[in-house]
Amino acid sequence: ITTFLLSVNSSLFQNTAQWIPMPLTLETLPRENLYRILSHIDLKDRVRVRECSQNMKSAIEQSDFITTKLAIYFERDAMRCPRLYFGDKQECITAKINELRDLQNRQSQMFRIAQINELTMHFDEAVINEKVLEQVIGPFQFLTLNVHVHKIMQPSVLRLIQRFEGGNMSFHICCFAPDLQTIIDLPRMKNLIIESNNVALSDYINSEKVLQIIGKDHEYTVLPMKPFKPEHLFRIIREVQSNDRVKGLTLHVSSLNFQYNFLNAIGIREEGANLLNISDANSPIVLGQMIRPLGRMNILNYYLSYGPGYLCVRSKNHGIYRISIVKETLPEDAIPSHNFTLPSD
Amino acid sequence: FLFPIKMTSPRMIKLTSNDDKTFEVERDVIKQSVTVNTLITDLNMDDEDVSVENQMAIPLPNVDAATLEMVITWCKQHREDPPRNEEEEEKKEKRTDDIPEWDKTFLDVEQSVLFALILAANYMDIKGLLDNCCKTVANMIKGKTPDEIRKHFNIKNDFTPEEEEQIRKENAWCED
Repeated sequence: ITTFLLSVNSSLFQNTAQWIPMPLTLETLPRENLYRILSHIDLKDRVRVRECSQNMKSAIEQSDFITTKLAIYFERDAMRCPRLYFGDKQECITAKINELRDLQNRQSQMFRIAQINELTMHFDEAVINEKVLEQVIGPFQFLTLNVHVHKIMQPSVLRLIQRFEGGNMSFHICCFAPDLQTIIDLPRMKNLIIESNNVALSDYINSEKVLQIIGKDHEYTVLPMKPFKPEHLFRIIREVQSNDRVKGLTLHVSSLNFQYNFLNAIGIREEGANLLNISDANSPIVLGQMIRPLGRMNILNYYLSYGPGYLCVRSKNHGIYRISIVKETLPEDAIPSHNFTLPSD
Repeated sequence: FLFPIKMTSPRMIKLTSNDDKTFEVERDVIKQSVTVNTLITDLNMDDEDVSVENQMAIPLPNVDAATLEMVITWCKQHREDPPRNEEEEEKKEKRTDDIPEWDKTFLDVEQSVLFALILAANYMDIKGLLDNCCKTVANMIKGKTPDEIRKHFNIKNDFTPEEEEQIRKENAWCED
């Protein structure tokens, strides 16, 4: 009978060879079943499953449907983990383009799944070129798009960026020890943020060139990774306050040293630093203490800009605190009611 | 005119597990298995002239007796369920909090049993059972840290400390 059945409907028995011997565990389940299970859990849990063992990691990374879903989230917050699911950089960007093309055809679905209204793209020098930008950015101009470009100073790419700039797009160009003249020569772009790391920071400050950049209406992001002198920062802050042409200054607080120095620079001593470290960094009181010495004008703006863009402090788990101090003053009556006590001097 | 009412007993189908145990199950019950259903149709096993005694048993070489018994129990419980529209199911929001109470109790078994049920449901193509089993496992994963998942599912951490550190860094973005 068995022989007969096999001959009649061999497909029924095709899977016999894949039969997994006991003991059955989550790890030994056939991928097909594992993926079905994972389809019922959200991204965060999938990522944790990936962290369990080599086998689980490999299973998740080899799964198309998971990659696609992860990629959506990944794109949304790419800065945090630019190469989570791909190997080398080239592979990363290629896969990304394909996924984005696919997403382009399923925009509504994308929004439904991931509730994306802001898309962050992360490019590295090794993979960026005009073609890539055109392919990737072009379809997504309707989004609030943050394009993070690292080390990009080639004029052709900058021209292309300028072409796309506008609307809801902003470009975040992270320059590691960039050529200052190149930055100064950048086309004026209203949403351009230039970010620099520690390497030449003290040089910038000492040479006053950083002030030239700020003076060009660019929002300038300082990303210090190693200790630098508080008085340098303090001087920049004062310059921002006194220079009418300066839109603002953004500081990335990305190390304990920086927090300590920053807090010192603005008059908060160790207890302030401890407070920042151990407390919810989003606490208005903590932030109020940090920006108190900058004057009431900034406090007002802090109130009004509490949220994306101006005063944004990310979770301390990521090791990055971003503090933007905006310069424009606003009328007193524009202050929203806020349960906030400004620490007294 | 009065016609004699023919009292027909339910049509029975024989299934044999991989450890050679044969089960008789109502045709209406086992129709939830697409695999078995297709086989029955393809083999013209619905012929009412063939008595159950003379009927060939359908071998299920991927399912052991204990699991098959559970599958049959589940199918009996769900025999009145409306047929699933897989397209509609795909469109539905993925949820794991909609497992019926009876299934929750039924699937409150050892992990190896649950996984065996998943394999059987997959092999026999019983989508409802497969879904509820997978949701049950998904619920075991949800909200757990990698360490807790390892413990719960007896997964050996075979990462080197360096690899573990690296993967932790990679995953930091989702740990708000």
